[in-house]
Amino acid sequence: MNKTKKIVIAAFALALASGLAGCRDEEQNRPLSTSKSTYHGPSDDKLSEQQLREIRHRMNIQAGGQI
Amino acid sequence: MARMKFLCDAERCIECNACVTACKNEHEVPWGVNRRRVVTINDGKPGERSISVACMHCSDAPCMAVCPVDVFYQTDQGVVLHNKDLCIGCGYCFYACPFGAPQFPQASNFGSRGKMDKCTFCAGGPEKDFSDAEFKKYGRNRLAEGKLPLCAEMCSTKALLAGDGDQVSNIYRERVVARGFGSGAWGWSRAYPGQGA
Repeated sequence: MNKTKKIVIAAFALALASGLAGCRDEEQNRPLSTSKSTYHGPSDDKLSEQQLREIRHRMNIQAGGQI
Repeated sequence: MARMKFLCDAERCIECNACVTACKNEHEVPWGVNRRRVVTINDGKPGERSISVACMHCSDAPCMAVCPVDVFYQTDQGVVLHNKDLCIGCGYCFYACPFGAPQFPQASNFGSRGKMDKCTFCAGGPEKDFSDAEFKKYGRNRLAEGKLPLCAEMCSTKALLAGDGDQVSNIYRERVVARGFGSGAWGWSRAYPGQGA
């Protein structure tokens, strides 16, 4: 194997390694996952009982009632 | 509380498009993206009907099933939301959705459509409630303010109902009884042929 060929292989291996290193969550700035059908992002804030009560109350307007 | 649902009363919708305008204004939706639109059948003919259509927040949502990067999730109230940070703009959700709800800011090929946008039931997204990031990506979070989606709240004929599915069905049932004919629901005669209009 001549010297040029070794240099090309080494350069290719280096490029591959650096490419794979760029596949982390922090570097992509987003959650990464290979498992299917599961949401891996941040979870939503849950609505409190008070918020749900207000929403139910506002449904009365749609039924023809008043606020 | 039951799942959050939309229901459009085809007997009441007058195709004013105010729900479309209200949605665009409330969430500052960009040009080319329509989270809600009004569809009219038999336009200008006897039997003309209009319904307001957006994401129906399906219980078993096909968009969730086909998404290759799992951007979709459901809240405790059954609202189907998505995470724009994860979206790759493949457009599979658009092809899977029977209502044409997913929208893209650019009309181009795979991966260059931009991040998918759709109706959020005015529930924002996974970002912190009331944050600038949430508003810029998903629009206003009215549910967290204790309010219902604006499209339904401002509907002048109260054709578009939104909220707790149990309450929505109760309101609609009372209307059907008061009318005294069929259901008035779009597609009723096709689903239940021979049982009245």
